[in-house]
Amino acid sequence: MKASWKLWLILVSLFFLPGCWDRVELNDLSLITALAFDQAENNQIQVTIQFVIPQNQSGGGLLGGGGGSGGDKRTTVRSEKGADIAHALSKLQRIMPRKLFWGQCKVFIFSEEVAKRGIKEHFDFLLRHPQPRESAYMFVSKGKAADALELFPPIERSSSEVLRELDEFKVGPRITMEQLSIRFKGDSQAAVLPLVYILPRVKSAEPLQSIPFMLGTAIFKKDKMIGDMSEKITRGLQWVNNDIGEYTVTFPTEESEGLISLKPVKAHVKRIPRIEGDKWTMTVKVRTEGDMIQNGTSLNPMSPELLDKMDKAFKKDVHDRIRLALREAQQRWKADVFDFAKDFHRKYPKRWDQAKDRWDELFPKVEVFVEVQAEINRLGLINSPGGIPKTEVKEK
Amino acid sequence: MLEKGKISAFQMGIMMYPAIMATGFLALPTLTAQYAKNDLWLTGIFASLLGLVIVYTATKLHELYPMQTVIEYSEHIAGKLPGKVIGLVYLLFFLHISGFIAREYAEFVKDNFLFKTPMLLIISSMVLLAAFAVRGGLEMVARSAVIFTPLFTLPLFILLLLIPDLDVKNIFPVLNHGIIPVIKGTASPQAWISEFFLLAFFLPFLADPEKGRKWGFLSLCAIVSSMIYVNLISLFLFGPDTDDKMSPVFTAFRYIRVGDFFENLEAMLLAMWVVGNFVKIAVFYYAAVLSCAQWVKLTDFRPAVFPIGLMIVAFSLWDLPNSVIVSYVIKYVIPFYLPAVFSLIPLLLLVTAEWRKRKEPVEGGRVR
Repeated sequence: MKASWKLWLILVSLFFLPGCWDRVELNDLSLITALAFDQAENNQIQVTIQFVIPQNQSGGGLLGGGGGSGGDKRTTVRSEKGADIAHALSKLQRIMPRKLFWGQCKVFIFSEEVAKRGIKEHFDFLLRHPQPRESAYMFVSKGKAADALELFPPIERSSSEVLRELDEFKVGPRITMEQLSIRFKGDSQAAVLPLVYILPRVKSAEPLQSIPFMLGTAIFKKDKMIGDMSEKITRGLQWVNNDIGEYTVTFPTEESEGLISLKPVKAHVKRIPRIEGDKWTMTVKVRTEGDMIQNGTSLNPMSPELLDKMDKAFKKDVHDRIRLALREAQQRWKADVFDFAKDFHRKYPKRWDQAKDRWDELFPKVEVFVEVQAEINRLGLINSPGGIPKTEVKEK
Repeated sequence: MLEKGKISAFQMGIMMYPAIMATGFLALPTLTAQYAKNDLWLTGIFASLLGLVIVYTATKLHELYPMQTVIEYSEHIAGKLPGKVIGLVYLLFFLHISGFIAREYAEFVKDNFLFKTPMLLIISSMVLLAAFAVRGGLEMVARSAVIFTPLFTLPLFILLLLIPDLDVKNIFPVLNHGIIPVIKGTASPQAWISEFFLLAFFLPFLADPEKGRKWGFLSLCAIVSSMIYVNLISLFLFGPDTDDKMSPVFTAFRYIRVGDFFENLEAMLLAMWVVGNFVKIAVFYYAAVLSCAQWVKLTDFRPAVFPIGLMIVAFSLWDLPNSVIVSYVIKYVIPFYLPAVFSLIPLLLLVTAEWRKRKEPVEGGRVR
């Protein structure tokens, strides 16, 4: 009795232990690193996947660093057209000998054309399918999205890795899939995504040896891209959103020719919404400080009066940038890319409930006050301007 | 006495934690957010009020009828025949709800991890494992709970890695639409909390019954604070997107990313939640087996274990054709179904028992 019980147990466990139906061997998987979506004819969508070539991954580190040429390419692309993403992917699987694996896929690029037609149906796939990750970064490419994946960067394993690393530097607004989803669900119904361009190839590089990089942003209203903002305006946007990242601030002064550059720049931004009667106003208070790394003027920053004037020039520069971004968003695009709606909603929930349907009309009319407090904190290794005789330095 | 084993009040308190939160973590943040929006964290506080009542009811009934479970004392309180009917209600309820819990667990696993594995296999392997635990008696279930519960609570600490991504301001505006949405949102958490009446099945087997109430309340505290905690994390991370996720805690876990390498942690979460669900299913399974054995007055509960397991598997598939129906039942049926059995019947029993005690202080069918 006892023995037969144990035998039965062993027999049953044989069914469970091998790992059942969902067992997948590593060498049956193909690791996707990025997806690009392009518009195809007949309202179809063209999906391009970038996936790693496992055989070429081993020579990593310093030796392989300069590679990316000829036979040892580390990634390659394949693309298919379909009625929607799922359809295109199932067609893609037909020309892929291995099962697609999404765990390492951290970059999704929409082409400008797709973005302008609206991304909601594509975005639903990304959010609904259990495999794409919510922490992946989203981009919009100027031109064909697939082109960005077909490059072979001189450093980094793949062009998608380049985009991801650049994004992590915070050289532009960094938007993950989840953040975009929150913006689409949120009050402002507007969002921005970084725009991707392709760096022109240097003369000595092999064909296609280049990288994609980010410059400026695409503006979304609801799920449709309505336009793009230049790099300069995007910086103003980042000031308002308290997301200035790794920027260098360069500005002229009134007292002398030449420019002053500050880095790193720290900022603290406070946004105070206010509703008085029918008038909606927003005060953006920026407190910022920076360290001088270049002084091309003849002004000696050791003089308190001159430093004060430099501070004023710094302040004016930040102020102008913010104004520029505000004007662009409010007057030209009428899209609340700053998410002011959220601030109003939080402070005036009752008023917001009445006004939320009219936010599109209200937003351009919101009066924005910008208050900047800017200071230069440190001067680096030298005090008076370098490269000129003491006599030419302006002390006052 | 059917159950020979003895557990401590501490073990009981530990056991209740996964017995309530195993499926609570999966479904509660999204269910509450659908009504309460950004006030979802308040629902835990409201639900805890009911929890206090239920823990008090269970322990008070135990004081009146020590060494008896609800199946036995309902006969003394309500009379022979009505008592038997109440016992049958509990028996059928436990069969059904154990099956439903197994299904909830299986839906989660199949949705996110084992896409091709048949549902029946996911459920039956878990129920088989729970069957072995239940056959070992209450002591075995309690000891496995003590081992597994720390593992089960680990995800709560790992979620702290999300701190850089959290936006605390998502909590505003507090109570924008008044208290009504919060009360509506409390419907689901209070159903989960009402499961605390399971204490009625464990209190008779405590080695230190005087500490039963204390550990009941401590366990309630832990559960309510975990509920509020995961609700807040979901709210801070997802804001207006919370109610759209099938399981916000799971999605939050997927979002964790530290450096370039510490990521894709959801498989770890699965491992930790599976042990929690194992304890939950074992606890409900045990309650079903004990109800059955006491209702038909068996001398040993072990022969009932496997047949009841079979019925649990059947109930997990029966009349639940797809995950939409499962979600529908969780959202609209469970908030009334569970409290009816776990709070309404016990409260009526307690009131009747007190009334009887006052009316006929000597009699009252107390068996010591």
